[in-house]
Amino acid sequence: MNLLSRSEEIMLLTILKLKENAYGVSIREQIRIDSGKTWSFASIYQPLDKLTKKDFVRKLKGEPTPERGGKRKYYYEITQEGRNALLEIKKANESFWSGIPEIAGK
Amino acid sequence: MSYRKYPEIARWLLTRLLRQNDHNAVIGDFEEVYSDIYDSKGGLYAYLWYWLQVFRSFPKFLNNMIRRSNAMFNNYLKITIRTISRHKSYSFINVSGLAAGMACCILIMLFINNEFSYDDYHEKADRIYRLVDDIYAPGRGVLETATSSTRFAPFLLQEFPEIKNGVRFLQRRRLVEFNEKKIFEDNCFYTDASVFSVFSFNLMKGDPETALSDPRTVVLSESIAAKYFESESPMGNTLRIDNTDYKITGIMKDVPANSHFIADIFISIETLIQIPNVKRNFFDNWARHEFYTYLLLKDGSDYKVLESKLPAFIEKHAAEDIKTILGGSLEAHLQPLKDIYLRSDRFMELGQNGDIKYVYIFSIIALFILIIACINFMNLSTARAANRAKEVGLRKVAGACRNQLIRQFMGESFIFTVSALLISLFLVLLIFPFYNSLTGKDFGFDDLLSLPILAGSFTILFFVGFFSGSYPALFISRFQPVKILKGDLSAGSKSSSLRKGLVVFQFTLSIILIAGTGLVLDQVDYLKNKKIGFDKEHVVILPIRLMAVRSNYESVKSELLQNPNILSATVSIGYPGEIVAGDAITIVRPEGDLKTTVAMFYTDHDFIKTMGMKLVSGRDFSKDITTDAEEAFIINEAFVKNYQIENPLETRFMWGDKQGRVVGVVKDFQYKTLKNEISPLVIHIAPNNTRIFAARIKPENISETLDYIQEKWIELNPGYPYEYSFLDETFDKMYRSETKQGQIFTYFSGLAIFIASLGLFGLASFLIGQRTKEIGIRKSLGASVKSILMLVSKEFTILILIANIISLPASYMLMSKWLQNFAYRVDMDWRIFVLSGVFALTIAVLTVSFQSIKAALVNPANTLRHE
Repeated sequence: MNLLSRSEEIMLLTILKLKENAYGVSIREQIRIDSGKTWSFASIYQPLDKLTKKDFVRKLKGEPTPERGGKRKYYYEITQEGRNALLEIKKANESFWSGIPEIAGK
Repeated sequence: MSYRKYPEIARWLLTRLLRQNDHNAVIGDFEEVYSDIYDSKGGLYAYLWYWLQVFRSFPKFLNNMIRRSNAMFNNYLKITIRTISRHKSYSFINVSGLAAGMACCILIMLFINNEFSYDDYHEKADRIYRLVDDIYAPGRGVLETATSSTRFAPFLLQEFPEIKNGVRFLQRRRLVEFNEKKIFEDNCFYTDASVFSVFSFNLMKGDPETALSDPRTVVLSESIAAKYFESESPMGNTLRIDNTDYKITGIMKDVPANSHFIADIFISIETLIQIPNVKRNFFDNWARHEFYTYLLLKDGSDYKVLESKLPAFIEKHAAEDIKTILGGSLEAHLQPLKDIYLRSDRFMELGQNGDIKYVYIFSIIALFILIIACINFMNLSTARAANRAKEVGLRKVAGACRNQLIRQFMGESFIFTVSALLISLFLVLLIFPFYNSLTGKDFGFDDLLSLPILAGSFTILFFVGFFSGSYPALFISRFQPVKILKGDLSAGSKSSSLRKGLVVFQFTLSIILIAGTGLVLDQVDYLKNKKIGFDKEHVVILPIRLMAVRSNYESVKSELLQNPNILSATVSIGYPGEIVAGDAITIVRPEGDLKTTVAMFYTDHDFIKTMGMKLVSGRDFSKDITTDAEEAFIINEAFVKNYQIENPLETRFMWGDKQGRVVGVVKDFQYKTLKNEISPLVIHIAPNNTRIFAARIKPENISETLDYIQEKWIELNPGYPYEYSFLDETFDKMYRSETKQGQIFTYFSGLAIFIASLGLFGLASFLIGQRTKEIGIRKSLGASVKSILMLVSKEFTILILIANIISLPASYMLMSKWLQNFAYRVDMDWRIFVLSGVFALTIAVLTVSFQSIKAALVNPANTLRHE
């Protein structure tokens, strides 16, 4: 199986971190907090769509609220396959990093 | 919660981008953050934020969208590929027909683009004008020359401040020598030092301001420099031109091929002014018209205004000279530089100009061929509509809307068109060498990549793709699924009348092209052969270079005539189709003398005999009558007609200080192209003014005779390279562009009929395929092969006959218009029209009968057993 891409990995981690409250706006905000970078919505939805297609995440319909102009939101929830994929990329990352002495340099 | 105004346009854009079902959730996200910002930082800030976010997201959403729409597209593509591979012959006919048509169009576009690019490279092209003369001689009409007097440029510069600069040219053929190399160069131009500041000839070495200011200085083109100087540096070196030393003061890049004149060597005009005799003849009066004058106007000045001031200027300076020397009057005009190549056809043009008419004719041919190819596509698609109908029905039942179907068929047509375009580009590359020799241009791969050609190709692509796809797309997509699936749809029956109409249209265009070709070839042949008035075969022309040969021409002649294969020989200023002199003469008449300018051949006694011309009345020059050498003139029929001379043989003349009389009238012969009427001409004995030696030889043993002439000529002209030509070849060169046009017509009309027949072939094979059962039943009931042939061919034959009837008046009209370009035209032969009709019919019948014979010969058992 292919490894997750970097952005997919970030998505899954963020969704996990946000637990029940993972939807577009909150995911984007969390990423901003964690990385200091503001992503465009498209850069969030693209990996989310891919993950949905791969069944790594599930979409759950939320209720429409007035501050969203009366539009409902979709909450994202990680699936078991998603968790497995995360574990796999974690393992891979660890082995990539193992044996790297010190990159901070002298 | 306060009311917030949403940026509607940005939101709309977002909904367009998010074609998926859940786009509301995404927009909801946008709007949630938007309202946050709105409340905290204000409306404008939020507004800008929204827009910025939409732009940031744009590329990725777009990407997503395209990928999502792939699903259906893949299906269309699959179906198209299956259709292509299942009906190979149909696809082949479609694509190859289109490709041939497009290749034609691309070639023609290349040609037209090249024609329009002439003289474009001059930076000041839009401000450069050529001054040309219309010379009016009494009783002779007007002579429109491309040349003018040398005096115009300096005088105009002085008088009109809007003229910034002027350049004069005189083109001559000169013998150029360096060390061992000795070659005649055709494109030597005497010119002013200002040439490099007016025209954008790229001077690589030397000073553009002063390179040609001194007498006996020359500037060479790169290739000429390379030709004479292999190792040495040409700059500062001396070159011998006609036995005088010239200093090389500059090297320029070769003049681009898309120039209306090609100069290889520029010689300073001062060189000429320093020769007293030349100065007197050319620079001190207004009557000589051998030079070309180009003027550079100041920015923003209107040449029409300047042109309107010219008559007064001529009246002030030139009129007197013209009146006394030429006995006529003069009008000057300005031609924009960019118009010269395509729109100027004057006497003594600097090179072989193009013709805007050819550009139009070519464009029309290209359009015809493209239409014919498109019709093939439409016809075959509509004919096959029934086969596709089931697919359409099924798609509709499965929920396809009409728009999708239109898109599918349009897409299919574009796939065909794109592949046809690719094939056509390949074809074009293959045809290039042949096309280059046909058009005399030098097209290469690079030309295909030029912007106008790419733009043109894409236009063709869209035009063809849309035009040929539109009918099938609109027609097939209209089918009602109920009817189709019930099998209620006969094979494209509704479209058959349209299809017939298109076939008729196709063949009408083809027949027009064929008839046009026939007539063009006929006319060119007529010009070259029918009415030339002399015998152009077997005459060898040798240019005279040495004064010694010119003054001893009698002994040269007698030496050559010792060979029995040389029948007669003459010397002359020029020969028909080449140079003819022109000078003023005075006709002595009781009602008052008439001074006028006529064309003149300066010759010796044997010109008429050697050229094989015929006398209408009077006699030829004779050696026995000693006064002939001084006093005898022979005039042509046009002279008699033009000046309404009643007794030509009693007419008396004055030419300069010579008094003379007419001894004979020669039958009109062509000495200039027959596009214009033959004008009055005088033949006179003046062997000191001759330039060429002409010998009529026996048609037998030509190569031996030529060897003999060569040997003698080299002996008589020591130190000069040997050159000779045949009169018929040089004469036919006058009609080079007409000949070329005839050839191009032939090829393109051949192609048109080929593409049309290809379409007919496809159509026939398809329609006959639908009637196999009918044919089978007919055969089993006793119909003969012949009767079946008749049955199938009849329909098509009628169509072609209709096409014939339509094309007849159309081609007649078009061709009579074309013929109006010529003063002498061939009678339109009704046989051409009949033949072209019969030709088209034959091809069509052959095409169809190939299919119908195949159908008629099939054993009915095979076709009927089916099912």
